[in-house]
Amino acid sequence: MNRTLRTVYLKSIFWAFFIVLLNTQAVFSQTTTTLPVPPAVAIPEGNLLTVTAIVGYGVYTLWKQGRRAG
Amino acid sequence: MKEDYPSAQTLIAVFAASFLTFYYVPPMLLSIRIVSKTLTLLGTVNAAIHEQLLAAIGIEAWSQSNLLRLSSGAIVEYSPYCFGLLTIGAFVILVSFTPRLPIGDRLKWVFWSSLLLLAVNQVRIIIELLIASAEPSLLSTVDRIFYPILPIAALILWRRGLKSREHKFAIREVIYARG
Repeated sequence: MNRTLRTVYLKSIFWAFFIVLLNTQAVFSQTTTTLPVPPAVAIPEGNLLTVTAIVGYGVYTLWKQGRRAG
Repeated sequence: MKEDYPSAQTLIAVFAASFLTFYYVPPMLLSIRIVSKTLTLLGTVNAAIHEQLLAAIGIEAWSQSNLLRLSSGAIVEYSPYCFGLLTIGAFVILVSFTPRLPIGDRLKWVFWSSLLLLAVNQVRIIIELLIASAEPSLLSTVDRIFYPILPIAALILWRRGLKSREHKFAIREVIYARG
């Protein structure tokens, strides 16, 4: 697979992931008319995906920059 | 590979380790009573500050523990899973794996960027509160659209820092090569 094609694939995967992320409920706020439920046992998925996405993007950037001849 | 850059194996390990950390560590910490109490207290203080802020511009709100009830009927929960702190955690991981940087520079970078990220988070929450006080049914939609602002800000800060530092090092290398 050539480099440009791979970049296109990686970018489309990134954007697909980003769209999924936008559709994931964040935990910060919620509209409710009843009393709030106690905190969930595991970390809310929106937060988990988002912070993982930050690290993933950074790791990809470092890998790409490190590969450049220099 | 460029010199000083982490290898592909290291980067994969960093990614896996950070995913596991974000998955397992926060619930583990929150199961410790004092930690969950402190984080709830942080939410309580935040709710109280936002109550005063909204009162200053003529919007009625009532804070009760880490909940903020707006006069429009919306209820905002300040979760102990502090998203701002988690984003700073991710930022710290990226800064610590940035190559060729003295520890002092790393600490300065993390400190100023964390302050900026917390400020961005506050602005985001206030905008969400203003929208929710006008139209409570929009709160969850607005939150879903707005919360990626924080990770995007973190990424921009890290990328900009990385680029400017690369540039600085490149100039220094040229100077050394000449000298």
